[in-house]
Amino acid sequence: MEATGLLKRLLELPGGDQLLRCIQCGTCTGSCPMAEAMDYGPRGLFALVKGGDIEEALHSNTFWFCASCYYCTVRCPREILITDQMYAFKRLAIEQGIKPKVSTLQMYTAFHETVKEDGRLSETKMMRKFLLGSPKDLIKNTSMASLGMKLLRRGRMELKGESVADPDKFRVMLSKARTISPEKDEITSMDSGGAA
Amino acid sequence: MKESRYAFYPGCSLKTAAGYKESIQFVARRLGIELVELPDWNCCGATVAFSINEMEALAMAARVMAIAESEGFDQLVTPCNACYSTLRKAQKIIEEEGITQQINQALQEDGKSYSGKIKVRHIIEVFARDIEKEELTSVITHPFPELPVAPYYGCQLTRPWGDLDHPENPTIMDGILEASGCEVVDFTAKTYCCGAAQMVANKEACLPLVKAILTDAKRKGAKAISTICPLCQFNLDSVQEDLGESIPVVYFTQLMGLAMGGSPKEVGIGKVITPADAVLQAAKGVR
Repeated sequence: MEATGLLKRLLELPGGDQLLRCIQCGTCTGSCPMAEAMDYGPRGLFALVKGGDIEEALHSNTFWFCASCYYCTVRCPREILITDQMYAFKRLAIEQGIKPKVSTLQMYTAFHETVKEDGRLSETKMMRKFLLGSPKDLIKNTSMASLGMKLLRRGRMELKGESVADPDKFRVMLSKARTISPEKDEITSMDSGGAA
Repeated sequence: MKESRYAFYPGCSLKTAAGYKESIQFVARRLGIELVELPDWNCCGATVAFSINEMEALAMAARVMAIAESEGFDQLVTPCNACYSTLRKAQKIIEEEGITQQINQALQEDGKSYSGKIKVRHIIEVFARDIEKEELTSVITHPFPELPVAPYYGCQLTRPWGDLDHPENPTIMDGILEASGCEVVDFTAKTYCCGAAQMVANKEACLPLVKAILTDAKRKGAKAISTICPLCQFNLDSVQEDLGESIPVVYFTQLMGLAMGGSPKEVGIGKVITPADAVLQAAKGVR
């Protein structure tokens, strides 16, 4: 298969060429609890890639709806680490500045920012960031306030967040980690044969 | 007893979980197990970190394991499926890609060092496998008379980086619940997905998932659902009003604790949202 540009990038990611092993059996989509919400199921997404339409694949909502349940991964007869392919799609889409129509990325951003600030996740702080960054979800979630009250009454609302001892050092560690570009071998537990 | 002292990684969700922390501590005390909370622990990164930057995700998980190692432990236990899965996944990737050294360059910035020797386990393994059955049953003083319970395991305990039980039909919790006197129902939905963090961003897509789990539990005659993960418990419990359902969702350690004679307060059962009356009545019957 001749691959250029973004498609080449995707296939060159660690384990990225795994999806060329896909035989389009549909076990993944049949196992996916979120498939109904997706524009393409995982099988359809892989069909796009194998057909060379990486742009359409990266603009799909498939990987943004992935809940990381790993059903597809444990069932795939070709032993493709499908959930991890979804992470790779997400990272590539983020890198390309492709904004998904669903709110998943805003939620991730709120989570990530909170953890970068404190080293730990305060759910209250994350929700505040998420809803401020995604007003449509604030309006949509009218039941959120009543749920918040229920949690508060049960002593389950974290009013004062916790943090690691030295958040600055934690952030330096994360920055340093982002600079790592290891010379990765292919994921060794899987047979890499059979690629198209 | 194989071990009695473990490094304990609570994860970020435990402090707001509905009585999971209280009931774990109660059960551990009764079984003579010491859980030592890791100092200065951080968020494992969960699925979010892997979605954003893989190396950052690996460093976050490695930092947690490095702290347990430096404290002299060879085992780390966590009560959260996502923490469990994330740490094990990171451990596997770091080993397979041979990047311990690179990860340590990042950890060094925070004064930590990771070897990869630590064994990451879920708290349920400690209660189910490290304790002899006789030892467990000897402290079950108030078994439930016939409380039918659906054991809900969720996804990430056994898929795919965990090796402690079958990926689709685990049974590790069943034995504990039976020892506590509960009647464990056959539960097809035991490893269905609750939607996990997608419940925050895409609630509409997740509600049918929870509905399917609750419906299967009821159809099998369960009067309560037993969970082992803070996010699973929250998702199954907190949206029942939206779905017009009402079946108590508690932690397996709360059922264990009650069966060990713990009071409802001691196991934090008042913190769940959907009233746990059916559980309390069944427990009350033997007091």
